[in-house]
Amino acid sequence: MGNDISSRHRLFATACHQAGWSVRQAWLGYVSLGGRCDIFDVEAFLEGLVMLGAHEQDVLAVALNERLQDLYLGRLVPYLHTDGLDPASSPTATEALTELLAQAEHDRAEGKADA
Amino acid sequence: MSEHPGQSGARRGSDEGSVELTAVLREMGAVVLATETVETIVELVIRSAVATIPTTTGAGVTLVDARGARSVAASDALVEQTDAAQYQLGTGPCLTAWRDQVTVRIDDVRTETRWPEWCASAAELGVRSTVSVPLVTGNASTGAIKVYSTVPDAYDERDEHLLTLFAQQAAILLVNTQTLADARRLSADLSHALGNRDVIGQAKGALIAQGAANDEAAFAMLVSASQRSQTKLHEVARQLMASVSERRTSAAPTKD
Repeated sequence: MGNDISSRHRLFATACHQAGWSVRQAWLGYVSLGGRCDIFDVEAFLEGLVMLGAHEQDVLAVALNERLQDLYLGRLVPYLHTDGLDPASSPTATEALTELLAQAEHDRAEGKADA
Repeated sequence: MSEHPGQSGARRGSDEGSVELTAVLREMGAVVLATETVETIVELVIRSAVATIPTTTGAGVTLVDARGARSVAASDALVEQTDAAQYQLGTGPCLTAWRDQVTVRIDDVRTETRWPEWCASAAELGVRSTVSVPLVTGNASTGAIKVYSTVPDAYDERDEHLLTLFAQQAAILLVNTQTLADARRLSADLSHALGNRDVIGQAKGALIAQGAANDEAAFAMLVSASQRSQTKLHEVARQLMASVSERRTSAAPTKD
């Protein structure tokens, strides 16, 4: 996948269209996840006029992906008799969180070892 | 809306008409302060149009948004059916009024030569005469308001003028209402967005305190946990904060 602006912005603009989001809605989703650019930057990026930094692009991507996932999950057919296989139910995040904290502590320990 | 003396069908003098219009405009002004929904305004506009022009059988409002989608409100089934015919055919006096920003008056649909298909179906439904006026603010036409009558020659130039004055007020009111509703929605959306942003910021801070290299690395860790657990990012952040405060509470008694 190319990393130049023309292919990046097209990916995002398509996702935004599929998500049924206006520029304002996309920007709100991005801001809610910690995005720091203003709505004009985001709009210009979606139009292919300016490039956003890699991190800001990722934040916008998460916002769009979460929205697309919501739309997709909403269309799944729920099971009637098969417990635990409901595709719309999400497993607990506790495991992932424990791992997350452990990883952060591990990183810190490594950083100390290097120093 | 007060009772007006023209119910018998006789035309009223222009004095009475202007008194009526003043009352209508005053009522429109009061609406801004009370209930500011577009539906309320449209209903008021229709009700007032029927009351202000005595020969009128029914009235309707068509609103067209930026994407060309139409929404319609009507005072009765006759207006609904007559409008439906316009949208089906894609042409008619009301659509012309909106598109070309002109006032359109048809004195008798049986002798009218414009919009022959629509006139034929309107005549079948029992409509004889109609006036359509565009709802214009600035340079933009946001829709049209129309009145129908079951008798021919129900409207003259004075009624056209009255309806135009009426439409000017209604258009301003509708645009203001929409702007207000937009502003309210943006404010609610922003509060919601900032709430989520806050907890994500806290979670990133907690991860940095635990050794994550920087803000971006902390965000990447949250994204990875969110993907693995199929949980929304802000929910992962919320759970992380809950588990951090839980650890602190359980660790507190053993401090040395």
